[in-house]
Amino acid sequence: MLGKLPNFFISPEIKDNPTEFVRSRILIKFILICFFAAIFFITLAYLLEIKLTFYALIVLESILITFLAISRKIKSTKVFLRFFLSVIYLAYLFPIIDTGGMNSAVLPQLIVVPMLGFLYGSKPEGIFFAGFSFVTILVFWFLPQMGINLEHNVIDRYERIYDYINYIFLFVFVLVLTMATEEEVETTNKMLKDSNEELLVTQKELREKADYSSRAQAILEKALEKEKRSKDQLKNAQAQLVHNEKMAFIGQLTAGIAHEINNPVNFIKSGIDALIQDISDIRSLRQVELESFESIVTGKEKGDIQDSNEVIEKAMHRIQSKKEEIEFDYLITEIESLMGSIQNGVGRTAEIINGLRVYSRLDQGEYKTSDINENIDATLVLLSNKYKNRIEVIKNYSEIPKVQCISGKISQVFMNLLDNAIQAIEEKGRIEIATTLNEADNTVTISIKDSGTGIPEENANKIFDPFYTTKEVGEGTGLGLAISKGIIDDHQGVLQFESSDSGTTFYVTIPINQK
Amino acid sequence: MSETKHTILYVDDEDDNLVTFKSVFRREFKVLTAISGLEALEILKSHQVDLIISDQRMPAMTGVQLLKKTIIEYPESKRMILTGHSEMDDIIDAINLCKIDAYITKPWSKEGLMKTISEALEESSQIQNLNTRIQELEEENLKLKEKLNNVKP
Repeated sequence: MLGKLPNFFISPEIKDNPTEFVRSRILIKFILICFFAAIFFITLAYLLEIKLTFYALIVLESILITFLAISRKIKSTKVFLRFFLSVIYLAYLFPIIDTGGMNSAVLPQLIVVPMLGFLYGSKPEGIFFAGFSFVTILVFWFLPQMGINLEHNVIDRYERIYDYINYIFLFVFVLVLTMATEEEVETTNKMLKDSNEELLVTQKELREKADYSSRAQAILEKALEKEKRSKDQLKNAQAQLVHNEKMAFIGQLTAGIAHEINNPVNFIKSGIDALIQDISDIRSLRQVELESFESIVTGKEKGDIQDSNEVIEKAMHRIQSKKEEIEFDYLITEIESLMGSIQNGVGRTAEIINGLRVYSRLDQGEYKTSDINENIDATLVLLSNKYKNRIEVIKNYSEIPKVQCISGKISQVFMNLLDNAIQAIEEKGRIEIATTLNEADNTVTISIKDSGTGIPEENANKIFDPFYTTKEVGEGTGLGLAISKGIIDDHQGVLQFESSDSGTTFYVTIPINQK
Repeated sequence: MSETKHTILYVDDEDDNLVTFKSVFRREFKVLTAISGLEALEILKSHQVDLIISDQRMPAMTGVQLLKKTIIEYPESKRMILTGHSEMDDIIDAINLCKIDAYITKPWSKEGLMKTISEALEESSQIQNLNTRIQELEEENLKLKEKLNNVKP
């Protein structure tokens, strides 16, 4: 709509930004122009001849109208309409001037032109012609005030011509009206069609967009699912690793047990084999003794003293030689020492089995009161083949109350820490284990100090990281300390360490009672 | 068994193992025992030993270290090593470095060990017999050569 305004009314920003505010500014501009134009013409009329003023008005307005008509590329009907309106407008101006200005009967018909502009064209045309009319009427109105009177010097016939003009105008008016309406309907139709097409296109675009977004959604969902799957896989892998560490721990445990148990079982077994042989030797001696006794008895029955003495001597000799044969005296001491060995073996086996008790609840998350000192001892038994005769273990245990913990898990921590301590010592060395009660906060601290080479400073902040290991591939998973820390964290405890060139000390602090 | 018993040296750091081993085999063999590798080497200096059986895991000197030392000085002795089940590396070392005749795993049974020992000693005495026969034949050969020398001129 704004596009139909003459170019000179449109400042550049209006084209791009047709807001109400801008539109009202144009209107104000237009009214001001009209007002100044009126003052200009009135001044002109006052100073110069009246008729000349009107001709100037007419010429100027004609120029403007022509300019308006050719200013935009518009439909032919619209051009025709503007032309037609302009002709009518000009056609009215002459009789108004001739029939006495404000007193002229034709004057009110000037209002018709802008009305037509509003009806057919659009707002700008209406405003445009309204402006012309306003200016013209102002000029007519002002002239008598200034003492300039237009004479009523028209003859009747002349007036009649104007009536004809009126009729012709009305006829053309209706004609143009119909044409314009039709065209308006057509335009509207076309506009509707266009906008319909536009809507269809938009709809298509929207559908495409919807398709696209649903496809994008599907892709996203897939990606999400994939991520979830890889998360699951990661979780599984993690669980698997923890499981592996547990299996490695169990392997370590069983290897320790097997080794520790093998020795006592070995000498219990061979001791019993030896005892069986010894007993069969004693039995054979007993047999000889019985036979000898029988021969003495039968000898006595015969009654010959000489004979019987001989028999006794013979029997005694036989027994003696059998005793010598089986090394009887040695046999007795051997049996005693074998008994001792078997007792040792059984005692040691029992000790190992007793030590295993603390590991028996490895998978159960049950908190039970447990003797920490006993736990450490049990772990030491299982590790003894790794440090025996090589490392001196010094125990500085103090009287500590039983601690509420998952015994198997805590033992796993001790196993890890002690195993690390043992591995830290290459040849001979010393491990000091101390347990202390902290009465202030009701906790116990277990410290395990080795005389190894210590942890280099650059590795110190990595040792609790999962998979961090300085051991050879296959020797350590790098999870031992990570899992230990997890276990101590679960017990609301703290696992700390300090290290120097002369060794490392690990401190485990756990509360006596779990909250 | 022959009149003279074969001599076995059994080395283990556990006294109980020494006691029971000796008790089991003393009837068939002359059993010497040592509680460490060093003691074993001492005994070897003063005794003729047909078979050395050593536990692998001992402080100061391991079984492999001990047996390795005996190869050069006592080549005619048979050697066996006692190991736990899991010590594959030790077994490999023992076979490669110590020319052992057998490895025995703990716990051993009397019958099994007896068989192993007997076989090894049997082989040993056969070799010994062969050696004595060779020696005899060489002596005979020398005598014959001398005789030939006497005859010729």
